[in-house]
Amino acid sequence: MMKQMAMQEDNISFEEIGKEETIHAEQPQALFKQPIRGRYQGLHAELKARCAPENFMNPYEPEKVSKANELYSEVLHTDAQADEQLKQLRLRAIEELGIKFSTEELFDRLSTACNPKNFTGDAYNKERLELANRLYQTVLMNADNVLALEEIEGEAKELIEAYKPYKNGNEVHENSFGDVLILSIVCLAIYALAILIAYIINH
Amino acid sequence: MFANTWNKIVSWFRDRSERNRLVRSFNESAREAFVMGEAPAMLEASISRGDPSYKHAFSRWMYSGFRIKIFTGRLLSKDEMIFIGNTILSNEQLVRRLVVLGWDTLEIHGENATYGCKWKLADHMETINLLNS
Amino acid sequence: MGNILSWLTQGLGFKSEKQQYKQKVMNKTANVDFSSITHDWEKSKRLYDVLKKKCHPDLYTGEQNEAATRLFQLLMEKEKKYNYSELLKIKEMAEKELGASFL
Repeated sequence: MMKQMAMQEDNISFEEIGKEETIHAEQPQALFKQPIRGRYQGLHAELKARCAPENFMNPYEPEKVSKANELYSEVLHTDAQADEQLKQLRLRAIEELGIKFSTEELFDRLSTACNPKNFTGDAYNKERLELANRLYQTVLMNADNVLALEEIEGEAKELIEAYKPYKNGNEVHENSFGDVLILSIVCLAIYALAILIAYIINH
Repeated sequence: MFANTWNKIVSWFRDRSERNRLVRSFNESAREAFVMGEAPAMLEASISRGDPSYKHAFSRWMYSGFRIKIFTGRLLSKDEMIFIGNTILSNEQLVRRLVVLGWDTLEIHGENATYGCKWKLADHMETINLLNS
Repeated sequence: MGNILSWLTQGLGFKSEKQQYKQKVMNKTANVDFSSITHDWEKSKRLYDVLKKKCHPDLYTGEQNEAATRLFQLLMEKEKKYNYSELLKIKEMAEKELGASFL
């Protein structure tokens, strides 16, 4: 098992990076951008949480407190089901207060569905791979931008539908073989130990 | 000659423990940074075989690679790997220590990856002639 | 006994030039700081991006232009570009000499 892991590690092919290339390398645009964390019971709840005026009182920003006060009051008077109005309020919150809204779920969904690896191997499809390749980079660069991700979600509908859960199932099956093997070895070892102890006690 | 051989034996044991200590310290620091939310991805160092063509005067006979694995949960671009490589190579103190402890190759790759980037450490150190002897 | 042990662990006192160099480097790098790599690598990228915009010589004239050129060149040095504490020093210099604001 350990040898298998070592061999797996050695299946990596490393490209040599020369001194010139290292010195003149451009900084990556999407350096490990993280999605904005937070799960809420709908956009209304998130707006209430993020636009609350007390969020701008430490450090104290009087202008932002005033704008948040306006916005917060409007949120409270808006119906939780009125999606369009809530989205307008969200846009204002982003523009006027610089608030970043949660992208956790959307990013997880898009980064899984648009991963170019999904369309290689047995599931190879030239057009989908091209689309995924184009969208994946954009998803990574906009991990913290809910508006950009929603736009990408529109373009990625085909990929989201085509994403096959069974492929994940296969991977789980492959990984679980190692776990079963370890569990079997541990059970055998405990069994052998129990027999040994019984033998010692009897004799 | 006996003195030299004896010194080599003593150095070998001392270096082995220093190498393991360096890798352990690096991993503890990286884990702490990730857990505290200061780093968006976790780095994990390990010792690998390295590239024999990168050997220098201090290189170990085997296992001269310093490998960093980046845990991000997604595919990594070459630019991102080069960025991490540059961050390590710009730390002159660390590079010197890696070189004298017998490492000659820096390798960086993502998790579940089949592609990575590697650097010849000796090229990135303001070297004295000893490294080329 | 202590002497024998130190003799055993330190070798026989005779060290080649290579071993001497190695000892020197090991002593000098005994307290190598990993935090610039493990803790600050992402922050350094963000700060570098901001400094690149704020310290560009084209934004300044006269004496400030000279200061901006000098700071921009510093920023491009490999040792500073990826080192968060060096970038913070450049940021301070930019605030003082260029009046740049980093809010």
